[in-house]
Amino acid sequence: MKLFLPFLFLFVACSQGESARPIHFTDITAGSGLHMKLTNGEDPPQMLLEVKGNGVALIDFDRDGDSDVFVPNGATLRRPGRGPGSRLFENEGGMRFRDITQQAGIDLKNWAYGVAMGDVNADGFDDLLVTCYGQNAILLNNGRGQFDNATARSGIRGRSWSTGCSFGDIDNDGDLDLYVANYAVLKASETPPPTANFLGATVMKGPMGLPAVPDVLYENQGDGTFRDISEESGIHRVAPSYGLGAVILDFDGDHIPDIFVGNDSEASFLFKGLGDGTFEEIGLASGVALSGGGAGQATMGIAVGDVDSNGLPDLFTTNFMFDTNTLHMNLGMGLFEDQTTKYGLDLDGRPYLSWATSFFDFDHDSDEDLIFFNGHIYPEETCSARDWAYRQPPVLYERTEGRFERQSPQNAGLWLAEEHSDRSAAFGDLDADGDIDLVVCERNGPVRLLRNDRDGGNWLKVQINDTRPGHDRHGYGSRIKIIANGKSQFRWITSGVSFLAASEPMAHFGLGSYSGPVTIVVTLPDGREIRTVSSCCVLKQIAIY
Amino acid sequence: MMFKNAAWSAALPGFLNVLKAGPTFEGAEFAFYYYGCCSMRLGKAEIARESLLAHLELNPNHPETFLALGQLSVKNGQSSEAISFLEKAKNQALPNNTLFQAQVLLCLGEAWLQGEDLKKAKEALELSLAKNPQHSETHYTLFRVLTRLGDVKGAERERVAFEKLQ
Repeated sequence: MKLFLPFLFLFVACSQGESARPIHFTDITAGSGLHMKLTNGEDPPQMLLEVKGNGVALIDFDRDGDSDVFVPNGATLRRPGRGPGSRLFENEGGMRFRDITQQAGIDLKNWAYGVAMGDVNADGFDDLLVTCYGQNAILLNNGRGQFDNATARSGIRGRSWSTGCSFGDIDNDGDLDLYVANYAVLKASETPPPTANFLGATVMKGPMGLPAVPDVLYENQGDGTFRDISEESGIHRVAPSYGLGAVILDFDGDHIPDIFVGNDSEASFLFKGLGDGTFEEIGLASGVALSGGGAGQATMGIAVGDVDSNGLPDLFTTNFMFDTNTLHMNLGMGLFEDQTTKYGLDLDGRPYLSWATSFFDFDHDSDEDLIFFNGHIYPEETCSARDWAYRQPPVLYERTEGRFERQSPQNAGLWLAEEHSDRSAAFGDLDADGDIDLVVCERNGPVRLLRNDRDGGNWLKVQINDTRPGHDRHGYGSRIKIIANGKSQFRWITSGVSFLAASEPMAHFGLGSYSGPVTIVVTLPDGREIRTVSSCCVLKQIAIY
Repeated sequence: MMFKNAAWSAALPGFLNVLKAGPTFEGAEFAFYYYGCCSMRLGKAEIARESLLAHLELNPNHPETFLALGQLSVKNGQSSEAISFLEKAKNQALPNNTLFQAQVLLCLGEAWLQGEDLKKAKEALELSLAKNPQHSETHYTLFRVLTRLGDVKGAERERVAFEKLQ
């Protein structure tokens, strides 16, 4: 069934350019106004609470067309409920930002970890869900430049330790439901902090041996308040694990949303949506729960892309040092296959402990590249004694024929040689020049702003603006297909990918030197399809009605 | 000791010292093998390959080195090269070393799977399990192959076997 455009607006923009050149970014944090030092425990860290870092969200809270930056901030073991506070930076254009936390009424001092962005009460303005050690928080955007902490009346519970979270419409009623991944029971006040042995080193304990906390699935009641449906939906039929991230998406193409959950050190979950509001966990049978060798992995970061252009979402997950990051290719019919080695992604990741990750066509050559950010969790002294790198550089791959090729700092810029304790990253076109820029969060370090210096290559951005009453305007869970120059490309509007982060809710495509018409096919989560043709490759934004 | 404890980065300097000193004791050439294995675990593909090939120059019939080169090729996505090394490892393996043979066959199965020859992958993995039936990774890999082949019953059998061994 076709759904025509009174219900939806597609904003499409495209620019003309030269053929694509190598990927290059520049760190432009200095002078950008995006200045913030994060607090994630103390050094050396003694507990897992101190090593996960915090996320970052891109949110156009004032609907002026550009993405602003919200940064959840952590705290310390001594005062776990009273950190320096999360902050909001307004994008003033030209890669300049201004701290407007106070002006926006944001007063969130909880030890914050993850963040999801979406319009939960369908009032046209994007809100924030922040996961915390302790009470999770929901910040409702009142549309007048301010956020109200609506946690108390929201139905959002959680007094343990929540990490990743994802918005999505699990019941196809148009509004945003929510999955919250929970980690483990850990008391910040426990002295001495529990320890374990890792390759002969005494290190902080966990997650194995710590009690896991069940995740929670919330149904949006249509007004931005939520109801815990974990029991009735079947989410709680599985033994709890150490959740770090979640993505709500239709993985098997049956137009019913599923939920992928990355668990630390144990099998990931894949909850298959059954269409009646319930889910069945099929991770192991689907092949996505474990590595190809049958091992549970740390599964910190999650990237969704379409590596083989078959129109089905593949999953790339990031893992612990000496393990591989893993590419699970989606074969269809709910089956995944670990093809990490085939695509050249095994060996490069082994020295690193990896976190945020994403597929994006950074160089606009019509295929998705891949990036992940790294940094060790054990104290610097422990790492040094064993010749493990504590601070680690990011790893960037350019997609080439059939493989991913690691890029060098000589080509991609000095930022790629710099070693950090990175954790999270959000992705979006912050300077509205058509390419994907990055905001990166380093544990107990600064927020960094990396500008994409793309030089050439046409592009296309597709953003859904669903104005139907009571609907999620971004169309989370939608698949965007374009056909350009005889080639199909697929993207998904996702929440929960990267690590603890929220990137711009749009589909971005590189077109190389192609400047002809582009056919766009949007498939909404419920299977309804919208087709349009864009006479793109001009520097303008087109609203389609 | 560090190699056995999977402390690969810490083990590297020791092997390097042996290599720098030259053949001062019997078996010193094995430092090339261990240096190559550590480098592979640390993601250093080129160094691993060079070290392992250097060991083969000195010890051309060492089946473990052929296996390591096969594993390295699989990790690099080079299935044809992997199969060539692994066939040599299989041929050089001692007849009574069934666990090693099973390990080689598992890696062969992975290489055939990577090269999309599912029937040969199945064959190698079934042979591997005949030699080492309690190896959970082999059951899991066979589960993957049978799933791809559409053998629902067989895949389920292997998945159950894998889970039992966890």
